Amino acid sequence: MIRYRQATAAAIAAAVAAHDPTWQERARSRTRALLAAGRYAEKSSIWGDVKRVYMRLQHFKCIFCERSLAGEEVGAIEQDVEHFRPKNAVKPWPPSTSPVFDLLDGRTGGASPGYYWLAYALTNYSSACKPCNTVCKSNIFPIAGTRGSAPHSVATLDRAERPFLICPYREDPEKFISFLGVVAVPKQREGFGRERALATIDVFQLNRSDLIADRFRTICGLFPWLQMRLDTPARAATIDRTLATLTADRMPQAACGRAFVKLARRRFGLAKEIFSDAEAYFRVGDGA
Amino acid sequence: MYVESLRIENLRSFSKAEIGLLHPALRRRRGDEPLPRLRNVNVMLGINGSGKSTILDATALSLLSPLIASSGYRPYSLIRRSARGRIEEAAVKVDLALDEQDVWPDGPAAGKATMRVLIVRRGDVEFVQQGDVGAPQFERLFYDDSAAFFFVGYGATRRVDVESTADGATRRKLRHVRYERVASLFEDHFTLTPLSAWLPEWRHRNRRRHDEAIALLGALLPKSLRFTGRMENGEYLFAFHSTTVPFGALSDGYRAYIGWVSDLLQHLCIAVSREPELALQDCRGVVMVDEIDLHIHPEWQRTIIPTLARKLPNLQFLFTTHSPLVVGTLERANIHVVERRRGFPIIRRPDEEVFGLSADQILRSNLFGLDSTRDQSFKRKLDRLVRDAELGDAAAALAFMRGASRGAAAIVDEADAPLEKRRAAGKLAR
Ligand SMILES: [Zn+2]
Repeated sequence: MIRYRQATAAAIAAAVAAHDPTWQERARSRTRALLAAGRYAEKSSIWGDVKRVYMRLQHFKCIFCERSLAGEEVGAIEQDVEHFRPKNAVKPWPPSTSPVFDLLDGRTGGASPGYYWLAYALTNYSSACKPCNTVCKSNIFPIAGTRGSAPHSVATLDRAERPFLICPYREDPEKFISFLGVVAVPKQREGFGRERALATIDVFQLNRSDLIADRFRTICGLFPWLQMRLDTPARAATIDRTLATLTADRMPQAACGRAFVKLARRRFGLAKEIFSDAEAYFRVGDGA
Repeated sequence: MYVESLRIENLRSFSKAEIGLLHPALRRRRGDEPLPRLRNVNVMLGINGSGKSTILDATALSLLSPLIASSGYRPYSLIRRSARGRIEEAAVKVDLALDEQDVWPDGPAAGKATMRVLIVRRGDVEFVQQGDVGAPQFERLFYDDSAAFFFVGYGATRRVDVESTADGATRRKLRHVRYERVASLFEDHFTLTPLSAWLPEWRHRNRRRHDEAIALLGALLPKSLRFTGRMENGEYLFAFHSTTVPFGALSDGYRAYIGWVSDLLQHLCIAVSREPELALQDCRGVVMVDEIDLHIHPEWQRTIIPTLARKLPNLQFLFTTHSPLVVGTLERANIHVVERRRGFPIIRRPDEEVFGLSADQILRSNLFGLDSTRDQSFKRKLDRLVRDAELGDAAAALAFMRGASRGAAAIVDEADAPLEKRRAAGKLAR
């Protein structure tokens, strides 16, 4: 996960206005109806109309797993507009099978009827791949504070609820989640920051096999440059520019890539070992 | 001469394989598929141990077949070993397209020809059975200083012996010149003749070829490197950025490349010495290079094949590589993927176009397949390692990566890794 720094609330609103000038007015009227009804019960929705805005802001990557998804022409089919706070009933989390069950259960806010009044809040949206949105997150929204109610805004809710899940549009996921090689791990050693990382990694299954493979590919692409940087110090500046491009926001698995470049600066030998794992990972046939 | 296709049976790890190759004289491809921009390039892409080098060896063996008994080549471990019973024979067949460079002006017409080589086992010894010595089309193959049937091959262990003083005549006592041209494919310790050991002599022997070789070498070098043509203490000097360095002081990548390229130039000079109407760079023939990306830095990998293919347009190239950067400069038609299925190497064409893709995109493409079938207990073991890693155990993260990439065997002893190793790993997590 990475932060999309340019995508402030104002920038998102402006992009939506440019994409579909009528959308925000339509959304306001739908929100009024939802507030009057006191629950989410619509037969049709309009958030699909702004999906492209989020796809573009996120460089056609999933907000949570940083996988590269299909682009402008056909990309809409493989991603969803993700409601960060679920519009429908919130399911309790974690399940007893979760590795963080013992650590967090009883302190995550339990079930709730859902944030129906945020069904059309632009700051509640992002674009996520189907595995992350539908399979992993579903209607989960664990919090450490007290569950808010209508018609509180996203900003107010963030303060009172203290969500466990990290929101890439409002905070920097790289402060919480780091990577040792291809494995997503909490960055902070203790406290709420560590718990948030654990919850986010667990909910989105950030160490699932498709992402491990994706990150091994990233490392295969980076390591030769890191080796060259070591071999030809005179070219370090040019190579650093290449490395910056290869780990830029628009690259898949950018957070993992950046962590790997950092690791190589401190422990080149270990980075080399991980690269040899990455190479071995893609050998087809015998063995694994 | 160019190789049109190759058929292998029971050679090394191959059970059966067939491969069609591009060459400069090809005017259309099977099924009317379009010809690629580089019509003289064939690349075998595969990881180490996939069997891609065997394709080069098989080509060299069959091209040598009419004179193999007197060539100095010694067969070793060529016939496939099988758990299901002893295999007694291996065979390779090549279909060739000959041209006027290969036949006498008044001899049989150039055209299609086939060479076959059979390797048989008797007890623990393998024998190569001499191919068709009598075919009149192959007559010029038996002449040393001839442009006919020109083929050279460079193995992955190719190196240049800077100290080498052995002259051509001494070398030829051990190996026939046609075998010498491919010996590094078969012999790990074979050394190539350094530029300094043959080029100076050609100044007097044949000034035109000497100058052509120098010009061609210059054209084949990467931009950062220039051949000065000057010598110091017996070694040629190269201009590298603003400094001048002798051949022996160049980095591994440059030496490995200049090593085989200058060996190729030497053999081209020998081959065309009686063909005054033929320019050095216009000679036809087959050049095989195992691991073309050997020691070569990423930027250069992106230009090396197109440069060779364009400067030597009449040579047919067979390269092997495992570098995604190298194949990004090619089209689907240039590439054969060699991979193992159930232990056997198979050769297939890429399903999609790769030209212009970045290394990362190529790694994502199906050229580099991904086998996710793992047994259940091993899967549980990996899951446990990930969980421990998430909870702060860095050693578990390292063990997970080793296991995920190399299979169950790699993590057996990891659970009881020495304490200091786990501690050292622990410091890395943050
Ligand atoms: Zn995702």
